[in-house]
Amino acid sequence: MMSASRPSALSVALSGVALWMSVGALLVWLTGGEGPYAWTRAMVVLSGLAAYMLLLVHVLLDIQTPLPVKVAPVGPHRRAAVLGPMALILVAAVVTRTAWPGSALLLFGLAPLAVLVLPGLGLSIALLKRRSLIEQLLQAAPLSIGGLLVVVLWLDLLGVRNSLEVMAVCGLTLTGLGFLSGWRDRRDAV
Amino acid sequence: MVASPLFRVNGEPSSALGLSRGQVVLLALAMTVATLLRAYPYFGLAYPAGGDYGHHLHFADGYRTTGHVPLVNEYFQRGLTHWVVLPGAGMIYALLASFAGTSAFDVAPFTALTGGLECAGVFLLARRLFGRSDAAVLAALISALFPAGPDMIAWAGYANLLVIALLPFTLLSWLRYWDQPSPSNLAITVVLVCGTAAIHHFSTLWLGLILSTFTLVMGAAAPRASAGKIAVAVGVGIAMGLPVLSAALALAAGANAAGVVLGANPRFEITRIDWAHWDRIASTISLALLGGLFPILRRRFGAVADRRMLLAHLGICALFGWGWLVGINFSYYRAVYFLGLPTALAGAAMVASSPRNARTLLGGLLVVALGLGTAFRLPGAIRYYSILTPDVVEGLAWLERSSGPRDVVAVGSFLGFHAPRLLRRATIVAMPPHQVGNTEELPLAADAMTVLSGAEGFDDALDRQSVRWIVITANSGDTPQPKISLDALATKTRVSEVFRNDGLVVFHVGARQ
Repeated sequence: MMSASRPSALSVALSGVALWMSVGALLVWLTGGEGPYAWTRAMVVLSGLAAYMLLLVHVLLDIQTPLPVKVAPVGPHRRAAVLGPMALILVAAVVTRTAWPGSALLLFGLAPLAVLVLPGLGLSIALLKRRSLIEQLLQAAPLSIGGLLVVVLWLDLLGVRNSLEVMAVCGLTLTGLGFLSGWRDRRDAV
Repeated sequence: MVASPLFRVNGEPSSALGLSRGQVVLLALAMTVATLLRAYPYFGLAYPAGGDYGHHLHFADGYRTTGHVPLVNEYFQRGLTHWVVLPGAGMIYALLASFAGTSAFDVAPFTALTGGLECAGVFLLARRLFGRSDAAVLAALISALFPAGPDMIAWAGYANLLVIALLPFTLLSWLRYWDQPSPSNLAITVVLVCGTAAIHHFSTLWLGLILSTFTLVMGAAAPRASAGKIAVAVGVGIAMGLPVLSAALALAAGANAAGVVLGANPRFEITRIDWAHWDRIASTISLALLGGLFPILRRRFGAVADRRMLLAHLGICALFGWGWLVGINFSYYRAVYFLGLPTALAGAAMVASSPRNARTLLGGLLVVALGLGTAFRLPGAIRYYSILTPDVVEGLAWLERSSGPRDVVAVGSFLGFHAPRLLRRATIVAMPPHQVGNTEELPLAADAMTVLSGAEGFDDALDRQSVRWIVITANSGDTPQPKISLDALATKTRVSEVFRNDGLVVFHVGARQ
């Protein structure tokens, strides 16, 4: 399964930089204690760690073999078609949360979509590229729950106080992955 | 393998999942039915049925309002013990409530969505196992109607339900990673495993053991080919799931997990699976459905890895369900709740292995029999576990007005999940030892059991815990049984009944004579 191709020098170099960035940020955070910049430090640590992990995976596995296509994969145009409604729901959710918190529309419609579907859809669009749109949708809720929990638990471990803003940033980041991936696929297809 | 459809449809075009239009409708129906069955406790009741959500959602509200994971449940067991629980379920409810701008209790009905989620996961896993969508749809239908989910939502095991719904996705992602160790498969696996492992302690033990058993077996079969995959998955998993690991280890230490599982502990003797448990949670018909395991194990379906994953799942269920036969004392009927996935797969295999012209009839009969059994059982379970009613809440409000802020109140097991939050008084909660997750709580729970059952040592227990009030539910189930408590307290001269309505009876505790 694993290809014999060697990782590029750039991947190795970037991986090293990301590792040292995360280690450095971790040291700064450990010696800094709690304070007004805890959030910033936590974000730096998380970003560094995430970049390192992604690059490490890339370097170690460097898989070239595509998945066998048993079902019709989602074309970039179909996947991009999901991005419009996703953006619309996101904007509507933020507006409704600001203007009418606790409203039935938010409670029973937009909030569950924004929390339980959109972040996972972002992840599934980015990571399950060769799967069908229906499967990406079916996987959205589990990936939302898993993705949000991993990020929120890390923030809690780092001492960052949970708040609506923190959660919004987490959710938007995960959702944004899907936007970026979908947008990139569409651009490449064009 | 014959690839004829179980449910015949007339030449509709295939959708992207290889489903015919009829199968799409059936899958959507399965997901809807599963969700509606689990939504039953939220219709027509002033408060959802069940006790446990009192804790789950109180935890979520604590996290939502303070921004940190609560470490102590202020009024539960007099606030003297740590709140030993994995935070994932509470965090999800808190996230949802925060975004909706409401309390965590307002988002409780979304737990019903675990039904649809579980069906979707079972469908995807079954499609991989059988390589055909008709059998996968049937597995989803069986999973939708399996009584364990509706039974669990009746007593409000929200965290456990969430994990059972996520379990098929997690196993599927691990299998896919094993086949194709690509970065995207690894990322999905790590996200799902870490997220799922953060939700519910017992289920995390389950998940960990299934994945470990599978990995060890596969690794032993092909060590050189597996070493890289295992090393990368474990490394990335630990790095990304460090907070989950630290929370799980803290919980394992607090609950003395190793001692509970491996020690000679009599706490769990009464929780061994008996026929009543099996019939209530899995239904009699599941015994027939499990016969479908034979065609799977005889290699008629699935790849080697798929069958080994299924065997690992069944092995862990057997270990914790009937481990007492081989000297493991942690034997718990909770194991039956985890049998929904293997039963659904086995049932679908049984139908898919039967003669071609009998498949639709057999599948239909199984689904109808299973569904009717679940539908008939559910209202009784909801009635039994309807702990909170307007009368009970009124009674607790009366007690809050009538008691002092430092008074200690003794309550039963089910009401004990709600009373600390609604009453805002220190409580001791009567729990049988097998229900106590945190060993710090054992002496307090034992004293409360003594008080509520009027057993020997009644006066000593009252004095040891400074109990001033005893509360008994009048019209729902509880532990100890309310009738036993009421009969026992009627013989005690030290206590006097001071409040009674249709939901609650309150006794005041006088001085020792």
